[in-house]
Parts: sequence; C-alpha cells; structure tokens
Amino acid sequence: MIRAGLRGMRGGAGCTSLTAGLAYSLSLLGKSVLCVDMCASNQLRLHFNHPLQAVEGWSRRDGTDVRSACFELSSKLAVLPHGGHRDADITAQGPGPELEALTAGFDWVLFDLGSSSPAPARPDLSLDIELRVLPLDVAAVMRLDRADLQADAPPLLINRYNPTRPLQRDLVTLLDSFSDLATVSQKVHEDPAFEEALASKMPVGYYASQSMACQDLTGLATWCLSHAAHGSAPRG
Amino acid sequence: MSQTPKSAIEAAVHRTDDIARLKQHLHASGMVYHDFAREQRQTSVVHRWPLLGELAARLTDTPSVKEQP
Repeated sequence: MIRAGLRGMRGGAGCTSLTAGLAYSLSLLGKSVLCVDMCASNQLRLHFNHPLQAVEGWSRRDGTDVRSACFELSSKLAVLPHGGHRDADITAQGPGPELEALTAGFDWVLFDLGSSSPAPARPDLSLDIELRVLPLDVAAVMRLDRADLQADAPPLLINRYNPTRPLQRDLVTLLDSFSDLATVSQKVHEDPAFEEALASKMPVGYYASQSMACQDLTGLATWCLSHAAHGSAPRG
Repeated sequence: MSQTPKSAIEAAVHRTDDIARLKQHLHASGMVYHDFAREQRQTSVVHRWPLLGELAARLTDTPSVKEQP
C-alpha cells in the first residue's frame, strides 16, 4: 500500500479537486484507492456525490466506528470524509488506529491535507509520497523560501498552468532555474472542468473524460505509479 | 534492490533536466555544460518582472537585478 498526500502552498490551491481527480484516475488504472479528507472544510466528499448536509466523518467522535463513515463509489474507490468537526486537537490526532484497519486491502491511500499556511498540527501519516500543490500565480510563488530548495522538501506540483499567458510561462521558467527545487514534471493546466465537476458533484475525470484536466490527472496518476513502483523512474 | 517509494521520489523528482540525465547515463558528472538559451530566458524573466527578480535573489542568495552594478 502506498500512502500519498497533497498539501497546498496556500488555501485554495486546488488540493481537494486534485485529490479527488487523482483518486479517480488511479482507480481507472486498476488500483484500489481510499481518499481521506484531513480538512475541516469537509469538501472532498462533495466530489463523490455525497449529500452537502451529511455530517458523517472521522472527526465526529460520537462513539461510532470510523469505518461506518466511509463510503464506496465502486469496488476500486472509497472515501472517508472529515466530518467537519473544527477541533484542532482532533485534527492533530487524525483518524486514529481505526484508519489502519480501514486502509487494509487498498493499493493507495490518498490524503487531502489542505493548506500548509499556517502549518497546522497533523498526525504522523507516514506518507510515502507528499506533493505540495502550487497554484501558478505570483502570490503563491512568492511563498517559496529556501527551505523549499532543501533536498528533503516534498516536490511541487504546479496547478492551474495556463501557457497562453506570458507571465505564467515566465513563472515556469523561473521555477526551472532553481536547480534544487523538486518539481513534478506533469503540470496540471487551468481548466474550467474542475469547477464544473465539483458543481456536478463528480471527480473531473468522470465529469469530463476528454478534458485537459482529465489528461493531466491521468499523467499524474501514471507519474505516481511509476515513482512508487520503480526506484529508477525518470527524473522530474 | 528497488528503492522504497519515499526514497524513490526523493531521488527521482529533483527536476526535469535531460542534460543531468545524460551526464548520469554517461557517468560524466564532471562534464561542464551551459545552456545559454535557457540562461538567457531566465535573465530576461527577472529583468521583465522585478518581483520575480527579488525572489530569485532571495532564494539563491545573489544580488537582485537592481542591486547588480
């Protein structure tokens, strides 16, 4: 089992949409995937046709088994909602030992970690892969600091790239110039299909299978599989 | 022996750089290579957008474009 997490460089970076879309793409590639929402905003479930008013989730410590909050979309895809309980201690503790039992049997567990600014207290999720989602705009890029160039910094996943805009191309050129900055070669392009998919309560690959967003997420899923399976996968 | 997923990701994702891959393949880590076109593009970016120039200076500990003589 591979445990992966997506964390935003700032709020609104697109982590939740990407987590939902990546999970769907991995499931299409034959992997069984459990998505776990670690954000109190509790929105990951909405990408999977869960009722807006529903409150089930791992953060609801009401004596019920965490597993009862998990719902399956198919034999390959399941979701564990957060529940929306905004208690910092509970969020720091995470789903607890019941998560281990829940994850057994899945090939991949994807965590939507939300924004890292300010860095919230998080449980130790023992992630095999952590990606930092960088929405490609100047304000987000300005958040980079020297720690992001350290060898142990998780790689950046560029989101909302629009190559028709000169400033966006220049931002990519700038990021490429930092030789120590780890980035994922698969960029995710700006695509209205992401928002339309959420409004339709679907992961983007299901909502718009011919979209650029779907192609990017298939590429990202392939990248993840490659890096998880082969130590000698291509750089970038 | 294959690497664990975590070490694989650390080793594999540093950046997209065909030249670095070629050096690795040829076991020629000492080979000096300058991509002048790329350096020119990067220089024009930091001149075109002052804030990006300051960020580049902050991250690489070099004088910003304005500070250079």
